[in-house]
Amino acid sequence: MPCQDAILKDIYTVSPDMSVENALKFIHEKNVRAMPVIDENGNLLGMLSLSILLEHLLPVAARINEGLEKLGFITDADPGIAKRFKKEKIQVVSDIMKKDIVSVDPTTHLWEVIRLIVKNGSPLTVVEEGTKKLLGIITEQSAIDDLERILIVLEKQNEDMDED
Amino acid sequence: MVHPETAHHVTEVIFGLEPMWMATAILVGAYAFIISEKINRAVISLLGAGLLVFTGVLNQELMVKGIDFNTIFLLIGMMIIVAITKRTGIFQFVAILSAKLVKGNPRLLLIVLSIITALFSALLDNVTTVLLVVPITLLLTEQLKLPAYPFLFALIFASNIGGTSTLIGDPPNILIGSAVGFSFMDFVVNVGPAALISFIVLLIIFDFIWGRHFQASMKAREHLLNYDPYEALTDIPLLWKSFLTLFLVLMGFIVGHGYGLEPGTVALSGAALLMLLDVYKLKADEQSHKVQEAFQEVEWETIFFFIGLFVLVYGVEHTGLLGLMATEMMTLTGGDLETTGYVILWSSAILSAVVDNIPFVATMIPMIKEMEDSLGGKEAIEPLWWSLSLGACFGGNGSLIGASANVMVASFAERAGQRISFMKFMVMAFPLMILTIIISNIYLWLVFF
Repeated sequence: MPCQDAILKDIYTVSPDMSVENALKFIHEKNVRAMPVIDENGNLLGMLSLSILLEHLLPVAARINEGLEKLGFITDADPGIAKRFKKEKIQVVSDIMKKDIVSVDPTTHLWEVIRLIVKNGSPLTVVEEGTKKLLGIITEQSAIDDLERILIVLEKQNEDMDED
Repeated sequence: MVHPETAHHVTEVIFGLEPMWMATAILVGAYAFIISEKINRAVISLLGAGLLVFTGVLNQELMVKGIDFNTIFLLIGMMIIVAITKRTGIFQFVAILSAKLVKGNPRLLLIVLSIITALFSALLDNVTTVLLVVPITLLLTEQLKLPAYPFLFALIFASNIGGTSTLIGDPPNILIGSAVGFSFMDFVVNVGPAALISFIVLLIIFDFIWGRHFQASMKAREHLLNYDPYEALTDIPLLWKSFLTLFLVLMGFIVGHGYGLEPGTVALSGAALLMLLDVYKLKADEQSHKVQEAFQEVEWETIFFFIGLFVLVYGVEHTGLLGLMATEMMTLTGGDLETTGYVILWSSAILSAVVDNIPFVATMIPMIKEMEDSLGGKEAIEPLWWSLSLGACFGGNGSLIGASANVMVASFAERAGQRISFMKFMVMAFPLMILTIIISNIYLWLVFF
């Protein structure tokens, strides 16, 4: 079954040249964890999320592949991290957004969508087939909501059959 | 060297071609692909090895005979031991502790990190060493707001030079030691001094070029002093088990040689012992999970590259090409041991700087063995092996692709957004490499020739 019913179309997005500070406020205000970054034509450029923001606070040695696996030995880092955060806030969204993100299109089947969310985390961006035009996102919650709807339909069908 | 029991094997090659030229064509073709780096070297060496059998240059039996299982076992054994030991966090612990000991002084930090890298490299393979030391180096330099490049440059040299000083430190030494039957201590005693002198000279140069100019704020240094190295240790019981195993393996290398125990057997048994100590209390499925994890850490690409390479070289050796080349070289050097030694030292250094030194050393070994008779026997040609080891290992410093450790450091630097330029590295690394070869040349002249 295609995933189109699980797509949230009414979503918040940010533009690449917005300051990180303003984007953070926006994210906080709307009470979401992530927002797609789109250009003026509605094309998907990347993703900005709280976890991507936090990742940027890590020293490069811990961020890279095969890098440090522990940082517990750095005992008085809090003021340093806060200073890094301050620097991060004056950057623009395109500086820190995650660019290589996984997208699906509305014809992608729900099982594959669920697999991708489990593997890469939520939300999953949905773009028009063959282009980069953002259509919406699928979150863990919207995927589960879609399954709930399917269940209701199934139960209704069963009831109908019983009545027959 | 022609093995007596196989000397009479009559090789029949397809299309009635001369076996020697068939083997040579396959070897040259394989090496060309390896050097061009267009196709993975393990794949090429295995295909070449297969071709030697398909074309009839080697039969099944000879193919297996060509593989030096001592080297293979030594590599696998050490890879497993290191894979388990690195889980303990000991390497970060040592690096952080030394950074604290020098109170975050950047000039001294360059020196201690180089020393740690050299010591680790002497006991572990170089790639693993840099894999463990580079991330912590990147962290320390970031914290002290220092450029990472001088540190990464020094680490490359330290790992290659440290590795030169022992039997197990660098693949060329493993190959030489296994083929000739040298002990762990043979390398420490005969190559070690040249490595130590070169290392000290380089440290002085590094300090002169970079170290003395380093500046770090007292505030940044104080941060470093607050690091708690013990937090980096993740599994203290496992640490003791690893220490015990490493100690036993080292003892096995040193003492076992006198009893005819090959290092490969010692290392692989050590790996099995450490896996036993690591899993004996666990349930069956947890045991196999952990053991599988350890086996997965083995760099199988390297292992299969060696297997294919052994067969390739054995093909040309068996058909007599290497004997012919050895005779040619004898004519060139006038059958003089000293001249031969210097030719080996310099040619292996220059070649190792630009191409993979492993195939080169693997080919040189049987060739040097062929020279035994004309140069006065097994004992007399011993200095040639040290020339080969010094040339091939030090030569790896000459360019960013000269040794696997260099490639690994470069890839880390790239990931950290501090790309090392090939030319920038070579402009300084090549002359410094030549300097270490000059030191080696003087050392060989003073001690052996």
